Amino acid sequence: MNFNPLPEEQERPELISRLQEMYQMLPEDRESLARIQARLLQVASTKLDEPSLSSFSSGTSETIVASKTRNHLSVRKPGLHRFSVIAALFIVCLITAAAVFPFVLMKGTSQPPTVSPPPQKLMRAGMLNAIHSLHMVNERVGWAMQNAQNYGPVLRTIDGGKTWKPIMPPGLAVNKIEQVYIFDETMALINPISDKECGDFYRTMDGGATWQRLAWPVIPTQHYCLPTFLDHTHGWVLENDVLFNTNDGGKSWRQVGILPPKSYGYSLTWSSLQTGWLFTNTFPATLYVTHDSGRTWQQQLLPTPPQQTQSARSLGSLTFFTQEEGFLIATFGKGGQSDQAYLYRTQDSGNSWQIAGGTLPWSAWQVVDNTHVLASEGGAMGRPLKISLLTLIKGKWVQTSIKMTIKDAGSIDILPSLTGLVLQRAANGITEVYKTSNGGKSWQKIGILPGGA
Amino acid sequence: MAHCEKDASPGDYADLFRSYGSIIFAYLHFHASSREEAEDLTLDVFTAALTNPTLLTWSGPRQLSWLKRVASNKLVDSYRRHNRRPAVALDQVAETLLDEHGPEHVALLNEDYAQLHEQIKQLSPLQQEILRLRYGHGLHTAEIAALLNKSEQAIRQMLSRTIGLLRTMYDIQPTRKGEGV
Repeated sequence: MNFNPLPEEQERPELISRLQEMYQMLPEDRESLARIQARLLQVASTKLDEPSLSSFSSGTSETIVASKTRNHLSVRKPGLHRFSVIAALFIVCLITAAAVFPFVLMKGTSQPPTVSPPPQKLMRAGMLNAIHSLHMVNERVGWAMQNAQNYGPVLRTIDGGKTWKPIMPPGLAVNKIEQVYIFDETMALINPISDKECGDFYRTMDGGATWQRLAWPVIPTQHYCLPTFLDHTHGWVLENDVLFNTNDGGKSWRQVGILPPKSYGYSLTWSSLQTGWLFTNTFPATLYVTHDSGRTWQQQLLPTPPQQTQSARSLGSLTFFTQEEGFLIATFGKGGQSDQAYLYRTQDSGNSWQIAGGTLPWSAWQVVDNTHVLASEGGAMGRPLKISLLTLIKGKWVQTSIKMTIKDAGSIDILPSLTGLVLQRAANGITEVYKTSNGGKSWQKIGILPGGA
Repeated sequence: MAHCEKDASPGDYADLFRSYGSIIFAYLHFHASSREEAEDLTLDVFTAALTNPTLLTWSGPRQLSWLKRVASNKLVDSYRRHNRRPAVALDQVAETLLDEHGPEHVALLNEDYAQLHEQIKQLSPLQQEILRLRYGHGLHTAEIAALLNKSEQAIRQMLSRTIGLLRTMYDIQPTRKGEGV
């Protein structure tokens, strides 16, 4: 036994020995670990070239850095890609189609004109953490963070990404940020790293000018907090499967109810004070709705695509742009590249959902607007990340690669206007900011992020 | 930071992988869509560790917490890319790391263990999980506590009770094979 044994373990060594045998690793798992270690060795030897790790290069290397073999992960240099005339024409066609097609659709399902006011847009919420480094609220205001490995402060821009200002709660070190939850231009919460993950949090309502330290409703032995806010005063926090709400911006909380399935992988979003949505991805993936602020939940059925015989394997990208209009992506299949995904859309507050367009690639993961979806493939070590913009044209999704070297999917954000930013860490350690105004067809460097190691 | 870099050595990272590679891989394998993806994500996690030399100065439980958090974020990102996002309560699954490869594979191969396996199945999921972390991955009680976000004392108590319970059940099995051999 290579760990400090408890008295009970010392008393029954044969029982402990049997338990260790029973729980021994599978041969295929051992093979996996050997493969990972071999690849890690390659990565480590490459990392030795980086300035921040140069101090390790002189060390004796009998283990994971035993080899000086360089792998093929080249340092990507930032830069704009050239576009051909054909590509430019294609862009124009896509943008035109994207602009016109919604109106064609609307014409096809035209309703009698009404005098109701335009729907109120919901907050475009997002989060930053170790691998999600950018979230744009709109074309002007965005939040960013050097990833956790680089230890930078939370940053905010109000000029579309040209300049960024550090905004940190006083006394909170940059390496103590667990998650940053962003709700709009001025409201954000920071969940600090602590022993109790549902402990305290920092809240700003003025874009980081001032911060308040508040407390989550802690459940003993539970530890996961997922906050969502509809506006600056009304919010909910999910602690495992227990839901709490606040009517004072998070100063006080009260338990609302227990979520229906005792399962994992909840995603929760709200389209009004009363109506909320959640799904679980335990097969079959299930969508639930509440109309009483979370007290009770009912299953919401989605139409099955004609080509599919089984229920959805997973749901994702559940997003409401207004109280009436929402989207989600459902994936069907057994898991893998043969899976097929579909964009579901509701325009009546979720009373009914329709499939928009045909089949999406399995890799679709984020709804940009009613005719655009982002997809990504690769991105793990050894496989470059490829991000594409899918555009709904005449009922079919047309895929266009985004012409930019992007290391992490969390470092790109595309708004419904097809304006977007990418954060790209250059070889000199500086994080550069690139902007697109055409859905990723062309990019222009507009600034850099301050801070970071 | 400079102090941390000065004191670190490549062997430390090898130790880190030997200590926690299997548990991080098991966690990711349970939730990833394939073994290959789990391998990629595990590599990502430990590659991130390479860029964080401060990590090596931390205690084991804190290192494991950090690795778990990065693994969870990587998984969220993977879900996001593969349209299984946002699984936003994904950290919750860290409390249940039970995988498909529990003790069954051994129990099925060896009847000697079948009854012990049956007894384990009668334990609560958390008790089973602690057994797996303790005897499958060789974690200290403090590391298990960090992983499950519970106090070490609570883990020690639960482990003691579980061992006591198993011992009781084990001892009263009249047909147990191999005992005393």
